[in-house]
Amino acid sequence: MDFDEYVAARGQQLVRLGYVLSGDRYRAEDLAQTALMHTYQHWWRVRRMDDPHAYVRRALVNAHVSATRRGSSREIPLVMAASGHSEPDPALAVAAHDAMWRALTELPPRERTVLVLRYYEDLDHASIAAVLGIKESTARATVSRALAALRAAHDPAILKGVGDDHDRP
Amino acid sequence: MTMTDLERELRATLIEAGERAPVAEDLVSRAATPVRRRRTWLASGLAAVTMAAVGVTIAVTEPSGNETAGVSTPRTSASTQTQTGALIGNWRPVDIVGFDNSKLPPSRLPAVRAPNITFTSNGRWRGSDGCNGIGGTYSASDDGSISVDASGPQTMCGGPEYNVPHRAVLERVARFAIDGRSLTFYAAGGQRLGTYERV
Repeated sequence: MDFDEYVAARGQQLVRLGYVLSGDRYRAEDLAQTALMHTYQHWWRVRRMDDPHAYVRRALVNAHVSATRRGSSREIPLVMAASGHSEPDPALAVAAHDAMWRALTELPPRERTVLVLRYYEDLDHASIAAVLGIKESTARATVSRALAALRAAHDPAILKGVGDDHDRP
Repeated sequence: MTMTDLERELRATLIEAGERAPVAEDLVSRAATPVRRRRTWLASGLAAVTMAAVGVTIAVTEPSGNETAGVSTPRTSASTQTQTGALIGNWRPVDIVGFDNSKLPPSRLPAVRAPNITFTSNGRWRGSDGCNGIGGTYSASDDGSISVDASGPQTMCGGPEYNVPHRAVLERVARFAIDGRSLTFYAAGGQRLGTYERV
């Protein structure tokens, strides 16, 4: 696969991941571009890997983690942009998602990152550990801790009908 | 594992957020351009210095068709150039005798950790065999003769990596010739050892 083909197939997916991680439209593009620039320099080697996308995703996540360590990634909007999608109960859904999103922004960067990798990228704990360069047990514990913090921070009144008793993993 | 309501809500929120991400245009060129710009700038600077200080060196071919190493034709009488001046810079391998050249990376990729060698003006060379950093000293003359200290340990690499045998070339090299952007090394007996292209 050529680099151009890879970007055509996966580039927008990287931007989405960057946006979900950072919550910032411009930072999302920067993260995707940073990851792709790094990958481009090593593409002749990356292309031979079993899963080149895993390499690029890791580069993007590392770029995000580095940015948050520098304290330069605190610009996450507290309210999601208006949606153009129709949903069964738009007002309730938007409110619920806004509340969830707000709760996510209040998590420490590492916890927010593991939740994104687990529930947006659908990675298992071992894969999360590989991306972040941590032990699988640490990844599992961080996910669990992040969910608990999210549960505590999330306003249950907005999520109509959601009971805490059913939220435990 | 059964997903809880909280997890389902979290997933839905993240997916919805992802759908709001901006549509990025032209990611390919944006990923490649900064590197190309830097390389172009370096190449332009090097070329300007080289052209201002020295002249133009060309390699010639004997009537018999045998390549001859190290024949230069200065364009001005004040020129001190020179094969040795033209040798300075970064080179990437394109054809090494005895090596499976299909393993070499494509030319449009930058030489960052890709196999390359760089000759500096202080008599040293350095580079990468695609896996290890390598280097040493060298001595070259404008008549095309060259000797290179290419001794040193080498770590063999497996998997998708490999070792480009720069050392094998440089240990045997006795003469070199530069033709435009092409650099060719020859053994003492005149056998071609490998050809490199200026990065």
